[in-house]
Amino acid sequence: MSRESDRRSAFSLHESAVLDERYYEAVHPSGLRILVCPKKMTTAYAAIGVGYGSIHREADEPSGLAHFLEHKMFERRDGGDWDSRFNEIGSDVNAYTTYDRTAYECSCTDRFREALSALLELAGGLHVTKASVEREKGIIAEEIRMGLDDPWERLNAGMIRSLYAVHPIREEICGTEEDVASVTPRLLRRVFGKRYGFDRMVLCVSGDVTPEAVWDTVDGYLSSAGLTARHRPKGGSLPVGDLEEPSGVYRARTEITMSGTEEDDQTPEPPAPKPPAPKPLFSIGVKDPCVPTDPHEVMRRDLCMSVLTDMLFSCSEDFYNDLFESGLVTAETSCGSWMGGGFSFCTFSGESDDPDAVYAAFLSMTDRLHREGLSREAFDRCRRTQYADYVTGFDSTESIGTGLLNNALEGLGLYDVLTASADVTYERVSALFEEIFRPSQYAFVVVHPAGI
Amino acid sequence: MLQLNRPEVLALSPGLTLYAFPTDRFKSARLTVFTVFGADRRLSPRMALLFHVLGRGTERYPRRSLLNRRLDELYGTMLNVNNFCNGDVRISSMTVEPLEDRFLPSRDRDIDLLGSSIEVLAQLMLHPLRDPDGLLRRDIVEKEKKALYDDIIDSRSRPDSYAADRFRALLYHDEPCGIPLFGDPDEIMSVTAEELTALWKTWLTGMRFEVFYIGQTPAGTVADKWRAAFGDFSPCPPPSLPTLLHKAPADVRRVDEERPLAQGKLYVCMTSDIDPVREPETMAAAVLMNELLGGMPGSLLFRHVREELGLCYCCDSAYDASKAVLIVFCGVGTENRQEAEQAIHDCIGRIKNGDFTDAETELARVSYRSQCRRIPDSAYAMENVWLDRLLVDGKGLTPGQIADPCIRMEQVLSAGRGDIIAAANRFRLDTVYYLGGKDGEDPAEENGGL
Repeated sequence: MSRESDRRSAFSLHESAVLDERYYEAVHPSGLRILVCPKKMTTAYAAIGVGYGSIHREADEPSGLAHFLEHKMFERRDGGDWDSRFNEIGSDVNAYTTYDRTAYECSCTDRFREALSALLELAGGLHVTKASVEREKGIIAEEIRMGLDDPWERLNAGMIRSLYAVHPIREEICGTEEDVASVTPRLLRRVFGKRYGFDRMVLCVSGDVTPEAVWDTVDGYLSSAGLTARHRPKGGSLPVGDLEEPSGVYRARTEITMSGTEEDDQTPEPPAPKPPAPKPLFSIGVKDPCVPTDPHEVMRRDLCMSVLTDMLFSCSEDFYNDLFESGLVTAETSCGSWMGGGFSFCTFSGESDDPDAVYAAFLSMTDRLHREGLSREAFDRCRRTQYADYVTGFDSTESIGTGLLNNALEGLGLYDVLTASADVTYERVSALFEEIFRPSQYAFVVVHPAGI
Repeated sequence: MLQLNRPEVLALSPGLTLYAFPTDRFKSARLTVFTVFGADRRLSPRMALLFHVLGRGTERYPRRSLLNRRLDELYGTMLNVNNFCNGDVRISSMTVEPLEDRFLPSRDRDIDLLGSSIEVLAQLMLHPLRDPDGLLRRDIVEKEKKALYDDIIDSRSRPDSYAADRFRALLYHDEPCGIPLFGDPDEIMSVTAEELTALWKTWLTGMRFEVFYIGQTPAGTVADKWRAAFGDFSPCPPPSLPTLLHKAPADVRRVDEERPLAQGKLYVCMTSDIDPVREPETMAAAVLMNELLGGMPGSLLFRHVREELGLCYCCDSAYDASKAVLIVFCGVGTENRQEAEQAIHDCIGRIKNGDFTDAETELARVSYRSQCRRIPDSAYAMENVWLDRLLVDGKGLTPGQIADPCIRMEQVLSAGRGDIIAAANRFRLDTVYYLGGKDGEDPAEENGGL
C-alpha cells in the first residue's frame, strides 16, 4: 500500500446526515489522538488539549498550578515567546484552563501547517527559568485581581463554595495570590512531566484541511523532534480522586459584602455621576449529588439537567416572567447548568431589591411543581432550543474544534449528542426534578455590591 | 488581493434597501434591521427605551413569555436588540437568527423559519402593545423605564463598564459620541408614554433603516418574505450627518479616581487630526500603527508592558478612525500604575521615533491581513464591515451603492514604515484616566450562615 493509503486507512469516519457534517479520527503512534473536521471556511482552527485542570491538584501542590503551567508553556527554548512566533505566521494563539482540562489553540487563514507544527511544539515542551517564573507571578496576580472587583464573579465563586464542601472545584482556577507566589520552576517541570505528553493529549482540527495533511504535519513534527517512541493513548480527563463530598450543599445561605466607596477627584473635570447603590445580586443553586462516571451517562444527565434548567428558569417560562412583572427581578437574570469531573449543579441568578422574596418564590414554585408536575409544552420548547444550540455550534471552525476536543477528552464523539438526546424524555427530566430539587440541595447566595 | 462577497442589493420599498449576502457557510441565517440616527442627548436614551418597550410584546404575542415561546417554537430563533456607536452616529438594531430550514429534524422541515422570524420582527416593529387611546402601553413604558434605569445602575456598579463609560464621557465631553448609550438614569425616568409613542411613529417614517441578510435563501425570496410581513413599510430617511473629528483639549486632561478595587483601570488617549475622508492613506497608516502598538496579539504593548515588565495581564490599544483617536487600555494595580503609564508612552515613542524593525511592521501587516480574511467566516463580522462602509462612504452615493471594504483594507496593507512613523507623529496626548485600586486588597467579605 502507498503511504497515502496508509494514512487514509488510519482514520475512521464519523458522519451525520442530519447535519451534513463529517469528521475523521485516528491515533498516531505517539499516542496522540487526532480528530479532523474538514470545513470549507477561510479560518482553520486547531486545539490540543489534555484532561488536566484545576481540580486535579494534589495535596502538596499549590492552587492554580494547572493555570500557571498553561501560562509558562508559552515560553520557548530560546527564551522567546510563542506569541511572537504565531504572530509571524499570521496565526492567533491562545490557551485556557478549566476545572478539568487545559487547551492550547490557534487559528489562521494561511500557513496552517506551520501554525500546527508550532502548536505541537508549544504543547510538547516546557522551558522555564527562575526569572521568567517570578515575572509571571505578577501577571497572574493581575489576572486574579481582575475578577475580584466584579460582583457577578464573586457571586459565581460564592455559589460554588456554598454548594461544595470538599470538592476542589471550590478553588479558583487561577488559584490565590499566596499560592501562586510559591510556584517554582522545579514544581512546574514536575507537573509537566507527570500530566502532559502527547499520549495524554487530543488534537482537534477544523477548517479547509484534509486528515492526511494533518497527519503528515503531526508525523513530520514528531519525527523532527525525535519523538518517535510508540505509546498507547492514556485516556481523557483525569479522575478527581476519592472525595468525601456530602450529597447536600455545604452552606445553605451565604452573604458577600463588597467594600464601600471613596472618591478623590484630582482635577476640576465634570464630576462622576452619583447613582444610587446597585441592587443586591442573588444566585439560587441546586446541587446534583449523583454525577455518573460513565461518559454517555454523564452526557444524558447533562442534557436532561440543561432542559430542566431552561424549563424552570428561562425567560420563556412563568417563573421568571412573574418575578419580572412584579418587579422582583430585572432583565439581568440568567440560568445554566454545569457538569464535569464529579460535580453537577444548576443556577438561577440575577439582581433584586429583595433577594429573599425571590428565594421564597423559588420554593413556592418548586413545591407547586412537585404537586402538579412539569409542563409538557415547556419540555417540547426547551428540547427545540437545545437542538438549535447544538446545530449552531457548527457555524464556526473554532466551535467545531472546541466541541470535538471537549467530547473527545470525555471519551465521547461529537455526534453522540444526537443519540443521547433521544433519551431526554419528559419522564427522565421529571424524575431528575423529583430527585434533586429538594431543600437539602439548595444554596442561596447574596452579594451586596459596593457600587463605584 | 483581499476579496469579500459583494451584497446583492434590492429595494424593499422606496426608502428601504436590502443588502443580501448569499452564503452556505452557516447553519443559521442572520437578518438585521439597523436604524441609524445622530447621537443626541434627548434622542439616544429614548431610542434605547423604545427598543426595550417594543421587546415586551406585540398584538399577536401580547406577553413577553408568549413572544419568547414563539421564538422557542421556531427552534430557538435568536432575537437580539443592540445599541451601539459608529463615530457620532448611533445605531439601534434588531436581529433574528433562525436555523436554516434544511437542518431542522425531518418532521419539521415544512416550517418556514426565516419567514416566521421576519413575521416576529414585523410584529415587534409595527404592532407593539398599545392602550385603547393608541399610546404605547403606559404600564409597560413605566416598567421598562425602571428596567433601563436598573440596567444603567448595574453597569455603573461594574468597574470595567463604569471606567469605560467614565473615560468616554471625559474624553468626548459634549461631542455626540460622548453621550452615554442609554443616557442619564434620571432622564430615562422623565420620559412619558406620549413622547415615546410619538418617537415610535417618527422612527417608522422618518429615520434611516438598512436591512442586512446573510444566509442561504436567495435575495429575491428574502425580499418576498419581508414584504409579506412588513407590507408597504416605507421609511423616509433624513440626510446623513457627518462624524466630526475629536478636538483635543489645550492641556492634557488627567483624572484619577480612587475606589476600593483590587485592580485599577488605566486609559491613555492620543488624538490626531487625521481626516479619514480627506486623508485615507494616512488613516490607513494609523490603522497599521495601532496594530503594531497594541492591536495584534504580540504587539509592542503586550511584549513590553506585560511580558518584559510583568506589570499587567491586559494591555492593548484601539484606533477609532472616525474620531481619529487612539486609546490604550491597561488593567494595572496602583503600585504599578506610574510605571505602566510610562511604559505605554515609551512604546508610542518608539513608533514615533522609528524605533521598530521592518519585521515588526510585517508582523502587523500579517495580523491585519489575517483579520480581514476571517471576515467571511462570521455573519456578524460581515454585517459590521459592510455597515461601516455604508455609513462612512455612503454619503453622496445613490441609495444601494456601497463601497468595497477591501479597498481600505488594501490601503492599510500597503502602508510603509515611513507612513507609520508619519501617522504616529500626528498623535498627541489628550486624556489619561485612572480608576485606581488600593494596593491590591480583596474588597469583599464573605459570611455564611447555617
